[in-house]
Amino acid sequence: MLRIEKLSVAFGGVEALAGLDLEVQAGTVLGLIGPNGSGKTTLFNVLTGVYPADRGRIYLGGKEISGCKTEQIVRLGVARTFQNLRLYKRMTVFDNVRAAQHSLPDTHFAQGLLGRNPQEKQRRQAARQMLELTGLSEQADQLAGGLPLPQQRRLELARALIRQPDLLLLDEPAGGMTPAETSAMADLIHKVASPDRTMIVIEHKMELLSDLCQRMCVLNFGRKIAEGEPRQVLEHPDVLEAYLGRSPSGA
Amino acid sequence: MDTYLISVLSNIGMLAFIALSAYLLLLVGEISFGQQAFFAISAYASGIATAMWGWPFWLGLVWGSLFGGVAAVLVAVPTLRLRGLYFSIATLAFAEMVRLLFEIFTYQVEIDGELVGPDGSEGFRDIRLIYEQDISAFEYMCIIYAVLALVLAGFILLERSRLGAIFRMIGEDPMLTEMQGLNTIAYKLLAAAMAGVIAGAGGALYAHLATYVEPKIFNVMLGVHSLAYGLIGGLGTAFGPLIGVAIDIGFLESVRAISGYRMIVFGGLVAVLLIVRPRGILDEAAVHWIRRRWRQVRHAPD
Repeated sequence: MLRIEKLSVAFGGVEALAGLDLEVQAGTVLGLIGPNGSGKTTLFNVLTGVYPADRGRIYLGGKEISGCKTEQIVRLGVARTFQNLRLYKRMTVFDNVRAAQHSLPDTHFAQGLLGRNPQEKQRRQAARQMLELTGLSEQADQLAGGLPLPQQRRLELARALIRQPDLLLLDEPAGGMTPAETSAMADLIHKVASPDRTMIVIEHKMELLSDLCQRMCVLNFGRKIAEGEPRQVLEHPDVLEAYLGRSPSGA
Repeated sequence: MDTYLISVLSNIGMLAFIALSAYLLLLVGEISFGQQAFFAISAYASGIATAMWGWPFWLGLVWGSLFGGVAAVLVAVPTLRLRGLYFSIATLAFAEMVRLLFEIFTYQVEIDGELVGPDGSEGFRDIRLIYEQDISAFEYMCIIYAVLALVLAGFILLERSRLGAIFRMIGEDPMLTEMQGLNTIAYKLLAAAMAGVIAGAGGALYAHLATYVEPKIFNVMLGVHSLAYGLIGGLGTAFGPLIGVAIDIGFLESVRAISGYRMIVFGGLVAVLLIVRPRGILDEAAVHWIRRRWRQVRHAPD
């Protein structure tokens, strides 16, 4: 599904990603962890064309996407959320979800001009269903900027999901949430996971990742230091060193 | 109707075009200090078409508007890719360039023994179509408002359309909008072209009302005012910039007791609003509230 080969990005003299190799099979949920500044969000930004890669290649479903523009990558079936929430705060909750539908291919253009586009009706219906799924139906007509943080995170997820992406990138979906809110978000992500959807989830809260991910990858200083099943990865000496600053023996 | 009132209303109508033009660019998040350039280009182009080439008024209006649109695209293509204030500075520079070019632009032909056409800094006199066709000031005011109504109808349709939603998305967060699979530069170009056409329509109407255009009218203050109209009236609806124009021309300039202090009051008003209501009186939140209330009232049981 996703193959990353020797991906490197540097900002000035700082290497955010240093020759990263990663392969994610279709339908897998991959947890991406690492200390702050390890390159996790930079990887999302490069994958979605926000930053160009200095070196390396990215393949999505066999097609090379390195060098493609953000909008092109999104049209290939990639959607994401942001660590620092990004919503259209001056627009309603419903319009935020609809925002992701505006670039979907239009096969009824002429009817659309007459205001009778059956596709639009279906899409509005899909947006309503998505709000129902994410528990935001009652807030549909509110301005997004006025929602509390957990609902704003849900709205970001709803917007990312409405295009039915093949690859979904979630950047700290439970960031800033209480344990109860985190648990509710975990339930929601479980609900939207499906065998034909690949997900990469950046998260510091292990209670969210441990149940959700089939695989886990750990970055440190832009390099992959461990990859595999979550339990094995979390016991890896290099991971403990990176997170706790010590080796498992306590030395 | 009182001739003074007709004159004030005609001025409000004409300035509404350039205010709407700047507003459209504000919608996509771009600050233009130079919409007066397209207003000027169209004033000259339409004046040349009707006064020198003998074209009918409507054709001159369309011709001038299109000229405004094409010029806007030519400015936008190299500048919209730049981030930050570069676009604003480029529009300002372009507008000044246009004004200075008109200071030296001479193109005259002899009609009935008289030289007609732009004559550099002397301006372009004798755009006398409305006198030749015996159109009264009141009738011409109606023409201005008929064209303005068409433009406003276009804005109302735009606000309800996918294109309008995309414009607002780009204005709020261009990167996020690219993340929705949309080519923001292409949409900004479209907005710039539409804004050029709208400013152009105003310019053409102005040239035929004033019968005389000179380069100094199209100075940077006209651009700053047109930008401020949207920021005062509000960016939540196309009626916002009209409120801005009405406050400035209809109140500050026309009420004689305060007209001498117009610029002081206007500048103060902009400063206060930028602090207390940065997106104007009718901002998005206000428009959203009005719409919700309207829906509640409409659907309330009798």
